[in-house]
Amino acid sequence: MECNKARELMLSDYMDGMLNKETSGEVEKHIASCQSCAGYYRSAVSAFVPFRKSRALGVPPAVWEGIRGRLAAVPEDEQAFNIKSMFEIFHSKWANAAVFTSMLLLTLFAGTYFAENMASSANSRLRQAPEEFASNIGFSEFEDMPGDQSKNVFSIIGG
Amino acid sequence: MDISKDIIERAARGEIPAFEEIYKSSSGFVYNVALRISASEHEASEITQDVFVKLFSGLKSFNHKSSFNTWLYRVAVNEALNRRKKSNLENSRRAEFDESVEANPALREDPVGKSVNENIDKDKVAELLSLVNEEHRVVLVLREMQGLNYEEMSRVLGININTVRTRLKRAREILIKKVKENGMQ
Repeated sequence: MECNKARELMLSDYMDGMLNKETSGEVEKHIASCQSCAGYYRSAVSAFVPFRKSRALGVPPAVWEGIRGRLAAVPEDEQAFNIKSMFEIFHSKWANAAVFTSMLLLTLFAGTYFAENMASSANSRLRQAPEEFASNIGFSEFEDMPGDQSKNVFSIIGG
Repeated sequence: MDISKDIIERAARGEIPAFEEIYKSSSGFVYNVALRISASEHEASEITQDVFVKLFSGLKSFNHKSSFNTWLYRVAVNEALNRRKKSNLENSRRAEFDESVEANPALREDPVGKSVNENIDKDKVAELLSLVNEEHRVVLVLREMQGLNYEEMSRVLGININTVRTRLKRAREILIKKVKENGMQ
């Protein structure tokens, strides 16, 4: 094994115990036979001793107190989340289909209702004031028509 | 650090005692990673608070597809790095301010410029970590101090295993070189 390869492995898989026995043995053989790499390996090991000796520090109690305080001040966000989650029901395809169908039925119902309403209102206006209606639609000759004929005209227009 | 699905779900429903369980079992990791990346106890406390406040609201969207620990570690590392970047920016602005104070005798008595890094941990590990950049510091902390393996580090950092290996090797190379240069051995 060459020095470059040995040093690369020393600082990665070998140091981390991730090499198989065979490759690990080759690295060790190289270290034993190369003074320069042996020195390099010693430097590497000693550089990392402080890391391995260091102990994890305890978390100051004030940290949890701070978190509790901040969580207590969160209700508005939580509320926003709940409202948002209420609307998340519309993400279901069945809910979407139900909403779409309801809107379609509502539109059809409203359309039919208004069409019928307008027709009956037009009808009643025709029956109550045929002369006024005739003048609105530009039937200026109405006054000259005999009564019977005018009835016929309106029976054709308004039913 | 094993946290049951039940505890996570209870905490996600807003149960503080369940959330406290999560905090007790994982705050040590979050705090120590934050401490080593930020090099300040005060910053580490703030980062830990931010991570757990984010965690509390984020638990509702946790889908159990990924490991909870990996998710938490990732949030902790990102939070610490973001805080570090922000802090570096503030420090460089402060340095500019200090220079202007030095240049202006009328401002020299102003005490503002003194407390920038008061809380920096002066122990040996902090000293060593200060020799490398943030990217390298993170891999050293996760591997040398928290004992994560390459695969875990890959998931936490969102990079592939080969990148983890290369980055760690490079971090160690640089550290060994700087230790020698600074006569720290």
